[in-house]
Amino acid sequence: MQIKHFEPGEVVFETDSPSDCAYIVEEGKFEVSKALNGKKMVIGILSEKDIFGEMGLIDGQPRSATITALEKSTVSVITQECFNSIERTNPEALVPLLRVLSARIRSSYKLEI
Amino acid sequence: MDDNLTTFYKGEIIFLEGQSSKCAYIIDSGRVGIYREDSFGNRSLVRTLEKNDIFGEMGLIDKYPRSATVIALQDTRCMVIERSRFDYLKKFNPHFVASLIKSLTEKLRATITRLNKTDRESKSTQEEKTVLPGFFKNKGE
Repeated sequence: MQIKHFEPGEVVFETDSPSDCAYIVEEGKFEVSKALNGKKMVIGILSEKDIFGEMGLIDGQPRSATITALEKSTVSVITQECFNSIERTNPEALVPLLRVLSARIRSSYKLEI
Repeated sequence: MDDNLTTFYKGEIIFLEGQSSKCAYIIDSGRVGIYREDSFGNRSLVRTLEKNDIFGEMGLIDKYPRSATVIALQDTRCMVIERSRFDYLKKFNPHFVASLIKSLTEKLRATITRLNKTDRESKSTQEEKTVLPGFFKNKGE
């Protein structure tokens, strides 16, 4: 897996930009934000072992949020080829992703009530 | 697999929001409605599912109670996937995990779209929605 480094304030990707990979935080912290009604809204903080960008990797749709490094950070990049090869050779390794998605769906449901 | 088929009649409740989760279902024929309740207990239809769609899988993944109520909208035949079968498929069927990931992502996109819409429509409640607690707090392990 490719490794990428980010400086504080550096943007990994922006809302609505095209998606082609996911990331796992190896070190550091990232902020997840969205612009709603012209205002920046912080919707979460990511730290070590968190995964982000997986939705775009899976369905190819544009990014649903903006990710910005809050400190000096390192990530592993999961490309489409890498994801496909895990899917083929070791599908069970993707089970944690099911849990992440499931947890995110449940938290988003809570916001709807 | 045929012995795991079960039929729900039109109007029948398949499971209720808040109940404990024991199995998932794949629709073989028919149609079901996914309903969620607001804080006043009003039930509203979120989406409908048809042949080959899966539901109830989140409870098997994270073992939490049902996040929605599912009602048969017409006579519906479903394949029941018990936990043991679910664990087996996860391990030995490469397409199973991938299709689950896809269907969960679809579900999440749909919810995010609904949330964005609500936010645009009700600026007055925007303040309360500035922070989505725990939304991105889920460790991938």
